[in-house]
Amino acid sequence: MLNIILSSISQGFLWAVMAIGVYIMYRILDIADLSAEGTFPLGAVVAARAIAAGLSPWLAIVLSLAAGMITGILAGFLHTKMKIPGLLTGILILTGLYSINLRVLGAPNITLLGKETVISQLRTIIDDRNVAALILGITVTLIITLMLILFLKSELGLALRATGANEVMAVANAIATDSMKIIGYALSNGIIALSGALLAQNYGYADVGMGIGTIVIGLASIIIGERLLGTSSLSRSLLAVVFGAVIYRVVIDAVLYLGVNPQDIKLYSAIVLAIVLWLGHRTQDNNSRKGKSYVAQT
Amino acid sequence: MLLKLDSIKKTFCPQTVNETAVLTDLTFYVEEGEFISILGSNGTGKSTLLNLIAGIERPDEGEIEFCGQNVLKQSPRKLAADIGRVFQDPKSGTAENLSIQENLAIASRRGEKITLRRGVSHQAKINFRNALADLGLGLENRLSAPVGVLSGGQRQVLTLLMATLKKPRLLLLDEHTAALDPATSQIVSEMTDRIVKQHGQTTLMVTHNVDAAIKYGSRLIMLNRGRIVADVRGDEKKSLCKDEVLALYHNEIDWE
Ligand SMILES: Nc1ncnc2c1ncn2[C@@H]1O[C@H](COP(=O)(O)OP(=O)(O)OP(=O)(O)O)[C@@H](O)[C@H]1O
Ligand SMILES: [Mg+2]
Repeated sequence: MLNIILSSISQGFLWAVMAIGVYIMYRILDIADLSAEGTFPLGAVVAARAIAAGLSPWLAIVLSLAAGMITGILAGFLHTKMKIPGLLTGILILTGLYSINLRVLGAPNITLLGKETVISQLRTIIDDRNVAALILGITVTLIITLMLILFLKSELGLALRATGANEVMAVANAIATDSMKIIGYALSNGIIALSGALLAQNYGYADVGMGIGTIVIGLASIIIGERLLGTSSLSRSLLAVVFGAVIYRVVIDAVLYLGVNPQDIKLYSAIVLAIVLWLGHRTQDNNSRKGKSYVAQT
Repeated sequence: MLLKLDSIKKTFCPQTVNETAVLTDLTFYVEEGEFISILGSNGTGKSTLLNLIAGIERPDEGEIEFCGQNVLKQSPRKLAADIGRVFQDPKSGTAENLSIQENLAIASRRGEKITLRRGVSHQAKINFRNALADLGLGLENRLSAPVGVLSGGQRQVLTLLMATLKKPRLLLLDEHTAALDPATSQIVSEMTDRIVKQHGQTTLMVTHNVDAAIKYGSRLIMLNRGRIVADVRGDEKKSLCKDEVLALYHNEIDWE
């Protein structure tokens, strides 16, 4: 039982990394980007393939990050320079990536059994598998959250946030809004791919289908976190996302534990998100909270 | 000559049922240091005019020259480095998720290279606090409050401060007091006048407030149906009375 909870929480932290990436697009840039559905498995398959080829698992993570960022730059280019709406940009990216992910993997799935992963490396110091995964998850989440907060409070970060918050104001203040959006896309998709690389190593395999539902998990994490912790400051909002991701994972695993068929889990994920959105919308209507309603924009 | 507009034509949605000929033949020059009030009924194209100058909209015909450069060949972002703007809608000029000091920090670097340095430095905070204290609205104690919690008037004052922080070559004000209560509107108008006088700030101010247009500014322009129907300056402007200006509005109605 303790093991199940521990494993659930550690996975929650690894998913939190992905949710932070989603947060950058949805909350900071205010663009409904679905690329995550393609860049998350991209990160997983790039890492798996690199590890299978004998590269260091850490180098594999760096390669995934780079692959995600390049995809993000491409997505940003489609959206800003080719003027393709955000939603469609995401659909194009995730569709195109499906074929690319298949090619990278060379097979529908790869197992990392017996290969050296970051988890197996950590286990030479920490005996328990779940504790190792938990330490990895917390460390990576912490580092990424801190770096992101520092970035978002830098001159460049302010310009990026202003672009998402009010484009008229951003242009009036001579901010290069297109470049800011491309940077946001790159950052978001890089982080999401990195999360894919970590989870593939944690699961010990990668397959091309593992991206399905990524956006649902990301949005559910953001909204649950925001409902529970609030958004009074930037740091708090990001902590809320992490917290939301962990809670969401625990809820889903609890549903599985109750004996739900794993094959139905995506359905339950979608239902949980629908309920959270509905509840969020209702309370938002009631206290007419500041800020935009999620339902309206997605 | 700081700004030249020559035979500007602008039609929205041409060749559709929604076709609107906004500016039909507009020509006027702005000298450095002028403070021009622009009057005109709703929908005559005043906001469109300011957007053309800022490069946000492009004219169908005509030339616009700003600081000796062709505006049509420049991006809105390049132009923004030398142009400060306050908009009709108080929400347009500030980013509501960002704090007061973060908004000011962005404005304080308008046109400069942005880096990965800290967005709001310690020194900048002190400067912002002083600048806000001068306004007397108590905003200096709320530097880290998100702009979204401010009232429309407070946001408009903040936008005006942001627009003038970097001493732009040209200041464009679009009915910047329209959404404000009479008292705040008065404060903002006087603040505008003070800034303009202090720095000899070249300013175009669109307004529906005839009293303000008469009281402030060195020149008054009346737009109607995409043309200038009155252009008053110097002593003539000083001796202008409200009835004369109102008569200009009524003339328009006669023509329609
Ligand atoms: N982007 C646009 N697309 C189509 N029509 C537009 C657009 N912008 C403005 N118009 C039309 O052009 C005309 C002039 O608009 P503009 O906003 O410049 O008027 P205004 O003089 O600023 O009016 P107000 O005093 O009400 O602010 C209006 O009829 C408006 O409907
Ligand atoms: Mg207008």
